[in-house]
Amino acid sequence: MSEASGAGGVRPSRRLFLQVLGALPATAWLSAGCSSSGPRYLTDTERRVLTACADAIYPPDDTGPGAAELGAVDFIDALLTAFEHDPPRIHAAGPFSDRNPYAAADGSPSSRFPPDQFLEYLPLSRVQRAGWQLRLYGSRGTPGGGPNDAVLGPVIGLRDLLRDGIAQAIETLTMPIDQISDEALRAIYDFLPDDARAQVELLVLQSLFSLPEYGGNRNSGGWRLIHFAGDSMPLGYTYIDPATGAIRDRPDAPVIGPETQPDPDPMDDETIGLFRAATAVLGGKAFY
Amino acid sequence: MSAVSPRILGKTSLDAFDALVIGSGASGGAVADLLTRHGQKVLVLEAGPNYFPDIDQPAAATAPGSVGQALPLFGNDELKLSHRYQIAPDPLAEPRTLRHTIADGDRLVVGDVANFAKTVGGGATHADLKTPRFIPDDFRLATVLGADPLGDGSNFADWPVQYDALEPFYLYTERLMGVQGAAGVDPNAGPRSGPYPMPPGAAMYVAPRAQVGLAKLGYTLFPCPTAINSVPYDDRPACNDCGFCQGSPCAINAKGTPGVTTLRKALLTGNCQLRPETRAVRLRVDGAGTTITGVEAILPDGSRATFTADRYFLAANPIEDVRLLALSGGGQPLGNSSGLIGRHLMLHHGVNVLGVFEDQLHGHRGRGSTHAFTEFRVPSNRSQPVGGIVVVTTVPYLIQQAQTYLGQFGPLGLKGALFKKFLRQARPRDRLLSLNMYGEDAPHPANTADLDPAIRDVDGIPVARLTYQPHRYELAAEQFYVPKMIDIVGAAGARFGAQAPNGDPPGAGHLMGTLRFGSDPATSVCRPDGRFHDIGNLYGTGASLFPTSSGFNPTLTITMLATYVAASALFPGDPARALT
Repeated sequence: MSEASGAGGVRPSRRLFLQVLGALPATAWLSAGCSSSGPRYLTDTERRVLTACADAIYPPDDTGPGAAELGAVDFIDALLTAFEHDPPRIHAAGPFSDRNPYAAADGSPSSRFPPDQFLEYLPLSRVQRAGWQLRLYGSRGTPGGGPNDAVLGPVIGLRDLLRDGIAQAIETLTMPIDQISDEALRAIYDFLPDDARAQVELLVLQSLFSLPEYGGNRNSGGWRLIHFAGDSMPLGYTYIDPATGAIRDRPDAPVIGPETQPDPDPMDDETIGLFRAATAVLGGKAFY
Repeated sequence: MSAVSPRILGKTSLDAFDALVIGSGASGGAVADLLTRHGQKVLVLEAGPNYFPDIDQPAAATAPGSVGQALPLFGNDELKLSHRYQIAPDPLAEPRTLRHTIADGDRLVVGDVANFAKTVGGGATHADLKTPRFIPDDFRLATVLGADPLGDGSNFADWPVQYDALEPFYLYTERLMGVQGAAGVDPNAGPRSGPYPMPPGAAMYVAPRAQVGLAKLGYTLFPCPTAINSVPYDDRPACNDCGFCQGSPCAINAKGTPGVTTLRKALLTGNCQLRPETRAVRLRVDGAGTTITGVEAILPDGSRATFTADRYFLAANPIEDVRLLALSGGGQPLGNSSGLIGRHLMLHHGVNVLGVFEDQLHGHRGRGSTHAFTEFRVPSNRSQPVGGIVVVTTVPYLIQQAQTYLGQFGPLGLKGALFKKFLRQARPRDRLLSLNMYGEDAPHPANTADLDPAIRDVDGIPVARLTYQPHRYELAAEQFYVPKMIDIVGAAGARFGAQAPNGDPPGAGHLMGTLRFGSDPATSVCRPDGRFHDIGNLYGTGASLFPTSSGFNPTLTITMLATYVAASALFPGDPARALT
């Protein structure tokens, strides 16, 4: 496998990974993120590796759960098995979830909530279906292959990409995977092949912050961790005052005026330091 | 779910048409609206799916939370809209290719290139629909600036129709789309013959924050005209500022997109038929090559059919219009005696400066951007480059935020627990104020759209290729204005200010040019009324016709110009008659 720089910067050498693993106690592991009851593509071992990768990207700590506990692996498996449903579970329907009420006539939250319409999925058009078939199953799993295989080479489907990438990363282990602790196994993320690693990173980020109906962001925990209140519809954030016709803010979540809630997580020196460094890289200015 | 089945919409019994429109977006909807108002029978072919249930049914205010029209199948869902190609073409199924110059070989990039929505309602569906008018000088830039003001090979041309003649069409279009705005607040705007249909809506908090800096430096911030309801209008509700507007369709129809305005009105006349998921792949032409005789299309089930009409209007977009013409001519575009089809592709030169603030800006509430200033776009002021309108905005979306931070800060060591903390503390929706300039993209003959020689879509059809790079004109404006934009965010109280890296191509989500219109068949593709010089019953419509791109968001002008073309087809020499 490549040891060149990856998307996240300089990657450790294979030797370093082996050293790290070797220094860790070979404790028994507990499976995590295996609560999905839907169709499965990933094996238990693959789910465990992806659990470790998800937590490498977004680890559990004293502020809250990591990506795995928030459903990252279920999210990924749901995408990989999307075509085992009819319609394929690619585009949730909408327009509303059941997390917010309709507005009352005076703009305040009413007691009426819509059903969660994101639990249904939209049919794919013929062309959309062809694209997703190719994305998930690749040229090898698509009758006739991809349209540009002769020019660009075959499309590697996401299912194969992840399976093969995980297998390659497991090959770097110096001891049986079931003897490596969950926390120590997180280092395997840096040993995924570049293309698989990039996809895992993207999928984990998507799982953290997309609608919970897709299988990640469990109980909106991904949103809560970054102090995001979640989707706002159909209530929204402003309303027209029926008495005056003027547009009004919701007092708890203003659009027009300044924030009414205290900052839940002010920037500390380390965060500001990162902005300072990025500003320098981009050739910008620090004003104070 | 029947709501998005590719059923034929509108007057399904029609089988003879006065006009066939290819594309149902800003241009196609406008053409269909104007023609059907005057009794013309119109067929609209749309390559993408439909997410507007009952778009062809009269309003019935039944669903809670809706006003009048049935709610669309969108919602505040970043995943399906920005990452799973609900409305944009899937680059695996329908790729485009890019190279910067012909010296790059056949292509540098395959996939997601200037990807634009392909759905009922077109690209206007996901636009946040800022709708400033172009200014009078925008229609005569060759006169104001010269054909090649910086000697970089640009090829400016005056429009064959000027602001005064188009002003009634602007007013008509603003009423049609439902534009909020205030007359007299933009010091550089052109004259108006009537008021905006509705007042400005809620100002996002970033607007007064930016105003602090702008006022110190002498710039005038104003509420940007926007086709989003600030009050209930036209059977659609007022916007409730849900915060999901930037690049996303509206979940409640407050945004005046074609699916809920022009196209819907056309369908409700009983004179229009709309066929979603129907891909036009070839224009059939008579033996002389001067008359279109039909359009061959791939139907939703993959079979093919040919549709006919008296007149044909190209309204896909400036890239797909060229693709269809090239496919129809066996690689060489139909109607190309000028040799200019595909040339002068313009994207707008997007320039983005970010200011980092330490307090909470809550940019995830509101329409994405509500205010703008125009001092960087005054073509008659020769002491400064010609830039574009600058809008004040934020970075509202979560997956996008996380990706951006990892991409930008990953090389600085951001990962794991530090990344997790950074997302909590450096919340872009709270910390980042963004100034986006839609810089004028000069028309350059080397910036082109044509067919890629080898890359195909899933139907085996050659895809479009862009050959595009910015030139001195755009880069000089960027170099001149970026320091000023950084100073603005600093004066507004930002701790840091920097330019975000440009994309490739460095566009702003706008496509223009490729079928420029004008009086001289040697220097233009279409006539001043939009008709092709070479083909008597074929019309270009909106953005494709633009000889120059201006420096303003183009959707209002696209819709307006398509209306003008349709009106000119009905009333040659007196198109304003169509508005009465």
